[in-house]
Amino acid sequence: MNVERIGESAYEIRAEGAMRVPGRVYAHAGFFSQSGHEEALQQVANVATLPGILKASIAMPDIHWGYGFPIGGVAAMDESNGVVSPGGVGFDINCGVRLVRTGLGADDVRPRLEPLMHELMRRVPQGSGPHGALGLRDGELERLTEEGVAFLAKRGLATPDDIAHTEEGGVMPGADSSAVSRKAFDRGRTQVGSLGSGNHFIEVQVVDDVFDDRAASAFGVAAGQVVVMIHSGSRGFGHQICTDFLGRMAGAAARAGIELPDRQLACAPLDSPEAREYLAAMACACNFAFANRQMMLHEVRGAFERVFRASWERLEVELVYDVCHNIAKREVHVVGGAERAVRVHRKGATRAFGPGSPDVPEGYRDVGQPVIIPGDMGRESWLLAGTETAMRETWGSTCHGAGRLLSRRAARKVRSGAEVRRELEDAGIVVKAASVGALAEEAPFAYKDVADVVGVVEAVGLSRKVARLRPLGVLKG
Amino acid sequence: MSVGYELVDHTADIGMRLWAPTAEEVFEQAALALFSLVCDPLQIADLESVEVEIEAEAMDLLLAAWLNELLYIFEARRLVLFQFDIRELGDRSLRARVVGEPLGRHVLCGGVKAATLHELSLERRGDRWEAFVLLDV
Repeated sequence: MNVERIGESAYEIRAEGAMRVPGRVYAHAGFFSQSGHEEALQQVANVATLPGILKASIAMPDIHWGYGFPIGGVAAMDESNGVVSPGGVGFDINCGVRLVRTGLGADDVRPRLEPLMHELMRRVPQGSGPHGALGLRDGELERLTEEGVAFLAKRGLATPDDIAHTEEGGVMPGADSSAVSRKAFDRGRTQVGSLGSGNHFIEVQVVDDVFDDRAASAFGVAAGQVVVMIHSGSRGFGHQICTDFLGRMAGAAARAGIELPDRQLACAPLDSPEAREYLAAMACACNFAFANRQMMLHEVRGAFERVFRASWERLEVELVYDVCHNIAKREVHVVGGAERAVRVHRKGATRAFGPGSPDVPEGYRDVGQPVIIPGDMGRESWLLAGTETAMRETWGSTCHGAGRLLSRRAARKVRSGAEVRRELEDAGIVVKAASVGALAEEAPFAYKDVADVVGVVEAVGLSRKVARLRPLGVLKG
Repeated sequence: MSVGYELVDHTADIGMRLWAPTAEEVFEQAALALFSLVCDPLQIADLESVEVEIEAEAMDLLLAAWLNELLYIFEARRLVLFQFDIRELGDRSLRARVVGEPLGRHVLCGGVKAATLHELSLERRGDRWEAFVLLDV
């Protein structure tokens, strides 16, 4: 493999052999001495062999190897002759994150932080089991997956502003519940409004520093303000859909005469029945995740009302924005001077549309789309804005988070969950977790530094720093 | 030990290495390894048994499909499974009986999203069967 530095923090994998386009990796120099980086680069090169891929197989600075596609990978396929690959989306379809502003400052919240975190823990089911906050009768889950957040709005659980401030307006087009297996519905039925496990969390944070006053003002954030971040996905519903279609697509690529360097790149031509059904089911999972995060916002509002004894409207617990990290979207981009419909796979990558984009909510359009980057629970998270450069270079995409440094088991050997909790509490962070043992797996030392990742995307021009956020309280799944 | 499993580090995920004299026992070890990551049984409540019948295009894919079916049963039927008995195992299909208890006051260890096809392998080596499955957690 030939890897060449082409600019500040940008590298190219030359297109050779079966690669149809080059690979382009945004990374700081330290990436090349991290273990696993060669497998990740090989995966970037493998993705470049897929039919219909345009321009380059792109990797963000939080890249690490995954199944078929690397995590932190972006690949856009021509709608007329390209493929869609479930591995380019991931098992956790629409794993994503939302940022919620409040009218409260750190001084208002710190004295009530413990009861607030306790209230959140009480209201939001965590962990991997089948528990959800929303009861649904037969047929209702099917409708929720087709309508997304609008389904919750009809029940008074979402406002028009919540919908306007969610990517895709809280509903992915093309969702068709008949494309989804009964198994997926069986799993999802009791999970709407649940946090999940692993790196999913709800954090109460404080805006520590503002880097772009104009964008911060447009997004409604200011230094010293308390915000809430919710990170979760489509739970067992999405996992089952991915499993179902990886199975179905195993044969589809061979039947279409596509040679795959890796079985996990199983894909189907976009105009095939398998692809159409996958996209219809994927959209259902996407909507499930939007609704899931909206239900948790509803619970967050309830928690604030209970602890601060005022309505959430008066407390201004409002959605700044909600973004997907794992998705394959039909978008129109400029290719060779003309507009073209493409299917953009973002797996562990975030949409970052720039100023002027019609898909960015009106109030934000002048400054660009809010981009929310969760870090690990001890350090910091980031709010960024999308840019014109991202539109030109990466199909309007940027990184999604920090990426792991240590495996889960290795992390448990470094510290126990109880020790990790103690260290966070010593730093003034209140920690609530469904499994104390699993806290070690999510500890700061197990993750790369998100500041490095954000530093690269800013240096390369894919996103602009708007605000840095620090955790006050963490609820882990 | 002639029959067993070992969990292996894999950055964001967990791999399981399995070995046993027969392929059936490899499938059973895989199920035990999977549930060691999901939930420990309390063994105090009524037991329920479930008949499992699945198919796949090849035996290694069958192994991954078996584990994904068990995850489905856990989440959809809310059963903490802890006994696995492969009744019939072919190249492309299997029949099994699994036993578990209803999810109640169990402590969940953490989630497993799915068994993946990454570096999936199942083969006979000498006098035993060996396998590797990577789990997305």
